[in-house]
Amino acid sequence: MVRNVVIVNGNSAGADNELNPYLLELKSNLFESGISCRYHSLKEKNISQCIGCWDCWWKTPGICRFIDDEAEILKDMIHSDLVVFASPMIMGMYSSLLKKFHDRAIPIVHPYIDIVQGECHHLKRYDAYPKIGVIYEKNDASEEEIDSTKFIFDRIAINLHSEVKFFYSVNEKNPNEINDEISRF
Amino acid sequence: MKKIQMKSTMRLAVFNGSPRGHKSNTSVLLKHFLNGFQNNGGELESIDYLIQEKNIKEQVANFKSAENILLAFPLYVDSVPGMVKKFIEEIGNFNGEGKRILFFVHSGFPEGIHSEGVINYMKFLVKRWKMNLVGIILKPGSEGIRMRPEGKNTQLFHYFETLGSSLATRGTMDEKIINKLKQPYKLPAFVLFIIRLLKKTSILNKYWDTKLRENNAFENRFARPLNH
Repeated sequence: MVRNVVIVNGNSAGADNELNPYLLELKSNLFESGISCRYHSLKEKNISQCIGCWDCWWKTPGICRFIDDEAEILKDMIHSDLVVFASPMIMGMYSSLLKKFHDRAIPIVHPYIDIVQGECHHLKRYDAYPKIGVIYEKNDASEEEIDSTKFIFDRIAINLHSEVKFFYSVNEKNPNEINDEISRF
Repeated sequence: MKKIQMKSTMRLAVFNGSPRGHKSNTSVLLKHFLNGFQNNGGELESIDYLIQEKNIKEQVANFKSAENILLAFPLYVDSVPGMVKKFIEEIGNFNGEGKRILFFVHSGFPEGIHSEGVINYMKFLVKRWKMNLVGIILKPGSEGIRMRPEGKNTQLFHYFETLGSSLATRGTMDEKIINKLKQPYKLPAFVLFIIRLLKKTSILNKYWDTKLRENNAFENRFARPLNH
């Protein structure tokens, strides 16, 4: 059962863009269903690019050297059952805004290696990780670019000891349908 | 040395997409590739470090004006590093007909499968830009290359030099070397078996443990700071 949802909005476009009102509607629908929801618009946040120093793995375990808005969103994620990554497709892939957020998520796993599905992956740092949902705006993306993006999210899910529960474009399902789906998990 | 060259010199614009900038495994392997390239008549047109995001306008201009492009980056969370994606967004859709591009992707993870998604993405980008793809070099298991003793990397560096030299002399890269470099795609069952055995020992994590101890962080390595 899903009690807590975090929406991470990787849209850099302004308020008139359809993705933003869509997500706010989803948030209020979830609220009406009795599901707590935190909403983070990355555009309003200050998140530096990961520089691969690995302080978060071997110097200050679990803590990044950059003090910015990343940690509070990761904290919400760790305390949630489902994280919804939302992004427009730009140049055939999700936004750099969301990508920079993902790059900085490595403190929530451990550097040690484990075998998962016959491959090397990082050990868990925390007991549980949220399931993943993806909502995207198609724009000029081709079918193969969408499939490739889905493939990458499935890979991210393995690395985050999670699974992708849904992957929809905003035209495929409306916020209420997504809310119904989440309520049934 | 032949004095007469049939083809004109190839000029190559290089984009280093490592967030570690100059001090990266990307840089080390690029250096050997470019040694091979330049020692065989190739000319380095420009080298841009994409981590210097304040220079993005100039970097995009260099990308769009180049005839031969090399984009190199480490795999970050199953795709390109964020600032490389930002660079791609800034370039946007444009007609790159007649231009040639090659990629160099490497991952800390020891298997090639981790990079499959991003390699497909590079192919779609080539389509978007209508460029000609020279090739994609994939090197899994790259973490720690720059920290290894020189002798341990001899063969690897030789491969990169050879690829660079064939690019300069023939305009192509040796498929045999590319196929060798990208192995293993997945670890064979007996290797997985050994890893599972070693998990009970500290051998597997020696690299991490050495660093953790150097930083007086070993005792704290399982910390869960976001629980509170």
